[in-house]
Order: sequence, then structure tokens, then C-alpha cells
Amino acid sequence: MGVRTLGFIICCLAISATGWAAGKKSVQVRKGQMRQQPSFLAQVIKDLAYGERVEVISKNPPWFEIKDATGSTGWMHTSALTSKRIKLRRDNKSGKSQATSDEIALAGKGFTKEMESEINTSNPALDYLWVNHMEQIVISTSEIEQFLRQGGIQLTQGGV
Amino acid sequence: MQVRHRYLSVLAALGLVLGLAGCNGTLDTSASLIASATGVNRDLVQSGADVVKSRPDKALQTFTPEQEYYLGRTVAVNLLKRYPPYDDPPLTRYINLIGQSLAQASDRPATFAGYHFLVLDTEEINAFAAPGGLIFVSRGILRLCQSEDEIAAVLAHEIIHVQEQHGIKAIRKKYRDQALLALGGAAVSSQVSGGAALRDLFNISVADVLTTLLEQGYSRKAERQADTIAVDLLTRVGYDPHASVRIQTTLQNRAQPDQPGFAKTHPAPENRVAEIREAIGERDPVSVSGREQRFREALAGI
Repeated sequence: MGVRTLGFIICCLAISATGWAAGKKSVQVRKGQMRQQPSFLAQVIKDLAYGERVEVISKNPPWFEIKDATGSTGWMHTSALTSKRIKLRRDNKSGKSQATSDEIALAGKGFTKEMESEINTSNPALDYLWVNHMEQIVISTSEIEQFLRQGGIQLTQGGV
Repeated sequence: MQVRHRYLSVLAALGLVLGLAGCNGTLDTSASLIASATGVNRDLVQSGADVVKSRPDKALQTFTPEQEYYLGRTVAVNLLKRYPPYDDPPLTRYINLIGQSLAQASDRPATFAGYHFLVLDTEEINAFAAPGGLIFVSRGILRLCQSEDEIAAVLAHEIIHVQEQHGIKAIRKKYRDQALLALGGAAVSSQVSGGAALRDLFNISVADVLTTLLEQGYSRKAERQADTIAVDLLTRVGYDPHASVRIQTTLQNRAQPDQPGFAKTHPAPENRVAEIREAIGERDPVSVSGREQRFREALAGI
């Protein structure tokens, strides 16, 4: 194998690796919804966890077609993804691994759950009960679809 | 590598000490403080300061969705200290169905923990959006709504505040920059004890958002943006964009600027109505009878 051939192969590998890396994203929300089609009314195939790395297969703005670590493919909205890598860290209290953005890894001293606990400890009058209650109100895609249909609402853009 | 590590540590320290210094110091003067506090050579510290000035990429461009979420939760808790929740599960579900339909069709359907909506038990005419997607509407403003489409117009406006991160942008720039710098530099050093500074910056950020929501209102530009993009969002989902004009006209007739609430923190409704009409343009009104009954049933108790 000549030097030129070897150089060509190395260049191809480098370009390929760069392209692959550029197509990697991380889920930047607690529950990244992978959908069957690029539409907010499309069926959710699976939820991907915060920090999970996915490969972008194709783009249909504002949607990315992605493949997760198990090989499942589907569509995710761009607002659920970031190009940054998100590290997992260990929760000292529970011992469980938790995801946190790599930008805020200062021993959990970012704007995080730990910060909220610290604020709450110094100000016990702050009651997160109703905020937690709000977050438990979940409306599924099929409920939205049914609600819109029953209300005679016609989507004008087919569900972006 | 060792030099780089120290260099990055200095960047982190710079962000944190700026917070401790009470936000009045410049990067240059802070460099002296950091040098004396950390024992790091002042020239190295100064070079770190120069980098911060010349390479803003060392600071975060904006808060991550997770940071925004935790900020928004504490903003929401403080709002709920002032306005108790209205505990009506069917109404809450109805508001969430409208809100989710709009939020999922928006340009930012995915926030860290999603959008959630709650009714506040107050006659005051108001609506709030905490960063990250916790959105509140008062009984007072719901009582002014004459249709589901008008509720959708109110919620769409608040969703756009979340989408465009108007709450985050309401944090005074010098504090926001310091927080982003501290958070951005945090990953490079675990040796710096910056908890207190970050806690201060967190509290300042929460206070600035609350002041905006309760007292000052968003900038005129932010309100105009929320009004005009909300028109597009309503159209996208199939609601009547003209409902925005109707609810704003009602607000114009009912709100009293000297009272707390919507009129105090929002631009004069007559200006807004004209701008919303311009945003609607030639779009036809949408008239659907299919949602009148559920609207009446859901709001019967308020």
C-alpha cells in the first residue's frame, strides 16, 4: 500500500469520523420524546432520558430523525436536543446516577436540584408542593389530538 | 496541561468572585481580588480576565434548559406565595389541554420538564409565565374570556414568553452575565468554593424575574414579540387569531392601570390591539361551535 493510498484512507476515515461526531446530539430535557413522524401529533415511540446520546440520521426542520443507542429510530424536535455532551454524575444522597449539564459540574453547585434544596432549607416558607403537583399534570399526544378533533380545530400546518 | 488547568481555574474563580464582589467590580479590578484570594499570580489572573472579555465563549451563551427549569420553579413558588392556586381539577385539566395543544405546536415544544398550567385563585386580571414553562392564569382573566379561543390567545402569549426566554432576558444583564460566566466556568474547577456566589446569583435572578412579572412588566419589544408570534401559534393550531384582538379589547375596557395586575405590567392595550391586527393581516376569522359547550362547562364555577 503506497503512502498516497494510506493518506487517502486516513483522510476518508477522518472525514467520516468528523461527520459522525457532528451528527451526535444529547437529549437536553428530562424526557425526550421520539416520535414516529416529524409532527407534534405523531405517536411517541419511546422516551429518551436526559443526557442520552443519539445520532442524527436526517433533518426536516424543526425535526431531527435520530437513532438511539439501541438502534431505534424516530423523530425528535430540535428543542429537545443539544450538540453538547451531558455528563452523568452521582447523587451523593441517593447513590443514583443523575445527569447534569457539563457546564455546571461544580460539585452540584449550579442552578440545580441541590441549589433548590439549599434555597428551600434557608427559606422553609417556600412550598414546592403545588409546583410539584403542576408537573404531575400530563397530557398525552392522543389526548391533545382528541381534544383538538372534538373542538373542531383544524390544524393549518399539519402539525409541525 | 497544568498551566491550562490553572488558567481555566482562574476563569472559574473570576466568575465566582465577580458574584462575591457584589457585581460592581470590573473584570480588571476583580483580577486583583482573585489573585489575593487564591494566591495565583496576578498576571495569570489578568490574562484570564482578558480572555473572558475577548472570548465570551468561555461563558455560557444562555442558561441550559435544566438551569432555566430550576430557576423557573423557584419563581413559580414565589408567585404561589402571593396568589393561591385555584383547586378545580376539571378546569385545571381543561386549561392544560388548551395550553399543551399550543405548546406542543410552538417552536419550543420541549423544555426541561415541559409546560404545565395552573389557575390562580384571584380576581386580579393577570397571567404569568415562569422560565421553563410553568404558566399561570388568574380566575380574573379567565372570567373575561368569552370563548376557548380567547383563553388560547392568553395562553399562547404566555407560551411565547417561555419560548423566547423573556423571563431569562429580564434578569439584569450584569447579573445574568456573571451567572453564565460562573456556571460556564464551573466545570473547569471543583476547587473553588463558589456555592455562596452562585446562590446569590440564583436569588438575584429569581428576584429580577419576579420584579418583571409583578411590577415592571417585560420590555415593550418582548410584549410585541409575544403578541405577534402568538398570532402565528394560534393560526398554526387552528384557533381564531382574531380572539387575541377580542381579549385585548376586553382588557382595554376593564383593566385599571392603577391596580395591580395585567394593566400595570403590560403596554397600553390600544397600542397592542393595533399591532395584533397588523400581525393578523388578511387572515380570516375562525368560527367553530364545537367547543362552546366544553368552554361553558369548564368555566361554570369561576
